[in-house]
Amino acid sequence: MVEFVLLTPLLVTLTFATLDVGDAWSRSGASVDALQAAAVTGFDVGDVRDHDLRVMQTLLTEMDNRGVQNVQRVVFFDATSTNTPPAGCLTAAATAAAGSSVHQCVVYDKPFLDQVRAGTTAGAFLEGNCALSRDRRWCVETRTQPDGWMLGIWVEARETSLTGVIPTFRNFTIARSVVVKEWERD
Amino acid sequence: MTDRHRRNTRQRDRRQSEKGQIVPLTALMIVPLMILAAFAIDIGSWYVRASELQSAADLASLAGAQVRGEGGTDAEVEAAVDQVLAANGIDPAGIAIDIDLAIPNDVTVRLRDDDVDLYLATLVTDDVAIGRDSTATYGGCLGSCNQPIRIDPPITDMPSLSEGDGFEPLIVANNSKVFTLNHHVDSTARATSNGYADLRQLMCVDISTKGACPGYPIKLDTVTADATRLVYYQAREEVWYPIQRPNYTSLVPPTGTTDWGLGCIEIATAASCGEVIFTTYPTVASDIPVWGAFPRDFRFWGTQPEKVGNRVFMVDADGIVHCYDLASNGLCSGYPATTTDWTATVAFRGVGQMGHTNQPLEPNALVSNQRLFIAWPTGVDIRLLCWSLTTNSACPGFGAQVISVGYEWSPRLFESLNGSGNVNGVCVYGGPDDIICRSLDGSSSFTRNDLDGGFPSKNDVGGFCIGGSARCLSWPYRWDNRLYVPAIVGDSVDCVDLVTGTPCGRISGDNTRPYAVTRIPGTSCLMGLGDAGRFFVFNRDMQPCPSGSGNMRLMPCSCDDGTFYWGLVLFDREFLDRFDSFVVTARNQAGVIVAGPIDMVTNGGRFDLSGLSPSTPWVDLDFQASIPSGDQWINPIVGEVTVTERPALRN
Repeated sequence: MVEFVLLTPLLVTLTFATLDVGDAWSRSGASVDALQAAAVTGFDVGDVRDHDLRVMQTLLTEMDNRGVQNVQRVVFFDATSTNTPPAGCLTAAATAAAGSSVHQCVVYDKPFLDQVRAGTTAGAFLEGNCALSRDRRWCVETRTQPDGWMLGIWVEARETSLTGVIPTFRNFTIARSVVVKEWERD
Repeated sequence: MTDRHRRNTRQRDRRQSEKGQIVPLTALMIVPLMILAAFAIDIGSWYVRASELQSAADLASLAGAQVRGEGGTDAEVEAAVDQVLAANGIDPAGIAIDIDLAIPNDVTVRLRDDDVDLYLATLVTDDVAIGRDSTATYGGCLGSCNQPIRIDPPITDMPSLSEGDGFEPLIVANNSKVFTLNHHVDSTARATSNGYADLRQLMCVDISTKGACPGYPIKLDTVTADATRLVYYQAREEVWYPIQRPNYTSLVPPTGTTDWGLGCIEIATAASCGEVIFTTYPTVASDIPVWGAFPRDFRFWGTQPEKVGNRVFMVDADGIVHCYDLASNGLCSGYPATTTDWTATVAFRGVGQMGHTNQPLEPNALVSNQRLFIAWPTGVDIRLLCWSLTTNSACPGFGAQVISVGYEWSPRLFESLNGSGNVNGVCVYGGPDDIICRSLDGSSSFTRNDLDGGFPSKNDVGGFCIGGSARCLSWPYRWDNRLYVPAIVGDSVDCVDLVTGTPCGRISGDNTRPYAVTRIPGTSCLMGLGDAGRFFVFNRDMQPCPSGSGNMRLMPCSCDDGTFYWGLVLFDREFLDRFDSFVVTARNQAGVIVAGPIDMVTNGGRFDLSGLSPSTPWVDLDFQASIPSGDQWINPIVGEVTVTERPALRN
C-alpha cells in the first residue's frame, strides 16, 4: 500500500507529462499545417499590395482553428539563401522597427496581429507607397522577381501546456517556418 | 508462541503479501503507460514530420505547375520543384523524391522519408517510413482579368409620397434617384377645358435624402394608363414617359382628339426635352367609357413602352407597332409597322372594348428572346401577338393566338422557364382560369398551373380595381428563376420559382398595396411601389433588404485562344478598406452556392473558383457590407475584382 501511494503521483505525473508532450507535438504539427495554408495564399496572391495581410489572415485563422492561438510574431523574409529568418530579424529591435531593410524582412508583432484578427488594418498597405506602409522594411514591390522569388514565412507562438505538470514545460514556444516560391499575379 | 508474536507474524505475512502484489501491478501499469507515451511522443513527431512532408510537397508541386503552365521544360519544372523542396528542408540524400509529369497540366511530387526519427518506439520497431504526395494542376493560361465592382449606399426607409398611385419605380443615376409616375393630381381646370381630371405627375425621390429631387414633382400635360412605365436613357440622363393626352372640345359627349406617344424630361434640369406623338386618335364617343363625371379614355390606347437597347417599342390601339430610337432621337427605320396577321383578325378597338363600359381594357407587352409579345384584350378573349425585333415584322406563323384566362380585360405576361432554366415560352394570366402559355414560336400550348402555389389568389392580381369586384392590376417581375407577383388587393408580393414551381416566399399585410416591383441595380434587393406612392424594399428571398447589400455578375476570363477559365477571385485592398465587413456569397447560374458566405475583410480578401467548369457562364456575387460606425456612406464605393488563374492543388 505504501509503495502504491508513493508510485501513484509518479504515474499520474508521467501520464500528464505524456499528455503535455503529445499536445505540444500536435500544436507544432498544426502550426506546420497552418503555415502551409498561409503559404498557398501567398502563392495565390503573389505580388498584390496587401500580400502579407492576406497571408496573415489565413495563417491566424488556420492557427485558431487548430488551437494555436497565442501567436506572438510573424516574420516574412527573403528565403533565397536561407530557410530560417536571419538572426537580425528576430531581435527586439527588429520587432520594434517592424523588420529590417538590411536583412530584408518584415516583422509583424502581436499588436498588429490583433488588428489583423479584428479587421482593423485599413490603410496599412498602401498602393504605390511603400514608405508609409506597414511592410516598409521589405515591401512587396521590392521582393518581386520576374522568374519568381523565394519567400519565407516564420511564425512564433507562445503556448501554455495542457496540465502544467512539468514546471519547466508549463509554457513553451513554437517557432516554425515555411518557404514558398511566388510569382507576380497583379 | 505468544498471541502477540502470532499477531506480529500475521501482519508481516500480510505486508509481504502486499509487497508481492504492487510489483506486478506497477509492471502492468507501466506497460500501457509506456505505450501511451510512445503514442504521444513518437506519433506526435510522426504527425509533425508528415505535415512537413505534405507542406513541402504541396508548395513544390505548385511551383512546378506554375513553371509548367508558363511553358517551362520538364527540366525547368523539376528544378523549380527541387528548389522549393530544398528550401523546405527536404534533403534528397535522406528522402526519396519522385516528380511525375506524365499527366499534361499536372505536376505530382511524391516524398518518402524512410529514416523517420524514433524515440520510445525504438522499443518496438526501427523501421518507420512516412510518405506524402501532392498534385498541382492548372487549366487555362494562368492569366488574370479585372472586373469593376460598385456597392451603392444602402437603400432603406424609402418614403411614402402620400399622393397618387405609383407603378413600376425607375431607379437611375447610379441608384441615386428613383422616379415614378403618379396620378390623382386633380386639375379641374384641365378637366373642364380638355376633358381629363387626373393629370400625371413625375415624381423623383433622392435616395440619399429621401426627399424630393430639386425641381420635382413635375406635372405632365398628359394622362397615361395606370399600369405603365418610365424609360431611362442613361447616355443623356433622360426619363421618358408615355403620353396620352385628350384634347376634347366638349365633354359630354366627348369630342376632339387624343395624342399618344412619348415625352422626355431631362433629369438634372427637370425640364422637357421634347416629345414625339406617334398617333392622334379622333375621339369617338362610343369608344370612351364614362366613369363618374368625366370620360375615361386613358387606359386602353396601347401598350406600355418596352425598351430594348436604345429602341423603345409601343403598340397602339390599332395594332400598329411604333419604335423610337433614343440615340438618334428619331423614329426607328421601318416604323411604324403592322401586319395583316393582326389587323385582319383582332378587334383592337370598338365592340370588344365597349362591351365593357367602366371596365377599361389594358394590353400588356413583354420582350423575350428579341421578340415583342403583346397580350391584347378584346373583352371576350385575349389575343397573344408576336413581333420580331430582329426582322421588324410579325413572328412567322405566330398569328394572333386566342387565349382565355377568365377575365379578358387586363392580362399579364411573363416568361416561362423549363427544367433547365431556359425560357420555353410566354404565359398569360389575369383571371381565375388556367395560366396559359405558348412556346416562343407559337407552335405549342401548355399551362403553368404548377405555379399556383406560389401565386397569390389570381382574383387578386388580374383585372382592374373596379366596383365590388376588387381585382386590381399589377405586374409580375422575373429575376433569374424567380417570378415576383405583386397583388394590390391582396396587399402582397409572392415569389414563385419558375423552374420548380415551388413558392419562394411572400410579404404581405404592410399596406403598401403594390402595383409593381423592380430590381435595384447592382444589389440583391428589389424595390416596389404601391398605392399612395408607398415605396418598399425587400431582398430576393423576400426578407428585409439588409443595409449595404449588393450584387454583381462575375464573368470568367478568357485566354488568347478564346477558352475561358475561372480562378482565384481577389478584391482590391483599397476597396475592402472601406468596410468593416464585406461578406460575399457566390452562386452559379443554377443558384447553387459555390463559395461563401465569407467575410473578405477578415479572410484574405479572396475566394477560390478554380474548381468551376470553364463552361460556367457566370457567377453571381451577393454582398453584405457594412462600413465602420461613424463613417458616412453617401456615394457608391467602387473597386476592382480580379479573377486570376493559377495552379491549384488537387484535393
